[in-house]
Amino acid sequence: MIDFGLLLSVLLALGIPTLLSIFWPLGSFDPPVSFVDAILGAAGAGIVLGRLTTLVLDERSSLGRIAEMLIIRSGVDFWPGALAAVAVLIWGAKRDQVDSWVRLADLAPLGMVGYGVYEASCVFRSGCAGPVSPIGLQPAGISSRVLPIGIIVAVAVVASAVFLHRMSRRRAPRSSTAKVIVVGSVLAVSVIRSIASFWLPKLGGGLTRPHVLSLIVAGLAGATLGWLRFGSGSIQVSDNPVS
Amino acid sequence: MRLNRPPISLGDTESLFRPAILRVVEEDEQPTQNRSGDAGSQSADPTIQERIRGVGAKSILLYVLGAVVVVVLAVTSLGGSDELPSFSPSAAPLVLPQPGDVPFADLETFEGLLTGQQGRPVVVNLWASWCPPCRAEMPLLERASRDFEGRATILGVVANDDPNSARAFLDELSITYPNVIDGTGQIQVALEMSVFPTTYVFGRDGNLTAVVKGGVSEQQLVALLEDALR
Repeated sequence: MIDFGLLLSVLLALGIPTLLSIFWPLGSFDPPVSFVDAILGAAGAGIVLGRLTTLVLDERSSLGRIAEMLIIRSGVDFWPGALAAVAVLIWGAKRDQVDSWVRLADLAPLGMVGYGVYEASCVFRSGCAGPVSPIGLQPAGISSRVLPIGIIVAVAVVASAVFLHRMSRRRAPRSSTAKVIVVGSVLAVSVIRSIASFWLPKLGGGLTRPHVLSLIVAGLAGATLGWLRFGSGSIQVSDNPVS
Repeated sequence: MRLNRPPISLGDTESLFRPAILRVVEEDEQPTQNRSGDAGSQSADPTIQERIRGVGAKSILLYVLGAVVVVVLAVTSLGGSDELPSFSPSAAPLVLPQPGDVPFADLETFEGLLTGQQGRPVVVNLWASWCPPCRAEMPLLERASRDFEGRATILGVVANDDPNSARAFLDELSITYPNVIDGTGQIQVALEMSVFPTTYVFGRDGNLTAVVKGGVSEQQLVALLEDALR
């Protein structure tokens, strides 16, 4: 059975940032490209590595069975997938002889919007799970209202993307600013995922592997951002526009 | 294909943020030399048509068309998924099969297994060993059966499958929750199953409360079970 809900989520996650790129044009591509053209290879690599990670760690019995390996609904590890996508983007930047940080900073806000849209499209997949709440959605089969964590994550991620996009426009365009935008986007997504994971329904009592990874990434990104801000001495924090 | 152009270095990052620079110039009303050296030549705000052309109109058009097709398919596919089958178990209570025992069950036996569990929710998963999504979700159901042990029951029903293949698969994955074989096909007809796998949730009172067509996710399964336990 084709999971149209998941397919629709992925299409929205790629399509809405593509439309948004009309207004947030990508500046590090010459000739200009749409978001979907810029990100498709990286997204594909991310899904493949994320799925392989899940297979190796959780579903070893499915390894070697192509039909089962292709069922991405059964799990795609987020951070290994994101790492693979970033690696492909860096490779693309080097091929185009563009600074890698600048390329990543160029794509980060739209990528965050795409991730936010994917989270919000939980309404098409599983009805957006969350803790019982007097306000919220009532997914099929659930007798009470639940707080739609996916939609809350989406709002937080998109708000962070808007903030980082505005920062990229207001600050002097140099590689150090690009580093702050890239690390800031990783920090925002990891912190939001870390907080949201506390409220998502799960099996077992402890933290899940994706939750632990999000916490680790948040710690690393926070430390890196602190170092960039206070330690390296190379960041201009003035909001002065280009002079 | 490599583009034959001079490398863009960090010192030339201005060109990479050209749209941002243009906007800043417009805001400050102070023309700045752009990448091509045409000072102030792009003073007008690009129109929507120019912007769309800039990011690839064909890509966007293809994308919108693709999205429309998927939306139509999704609406068609998901439509009516909230309708529950009119199935209500009423036979005399029976005890669940022991681990490792995968007996045949007709509809009356199946209903008896459900009524025997009244007072606790039951998740019934219809599956077949030839169905990859069914195989993929069974480790999740196994984890759920352990996590909700004593509070809820997971019951697998093998449908449209060779019994030996199904038993071999259960052994291979070390599945411990009870399974029966729908030997007559009556169970899948009574539950109005249309796709593999399908998961049904019965509440404490034995009434059917939810149906998940296709693979079930961990969040979805836990949310349904916790709701059935409330």
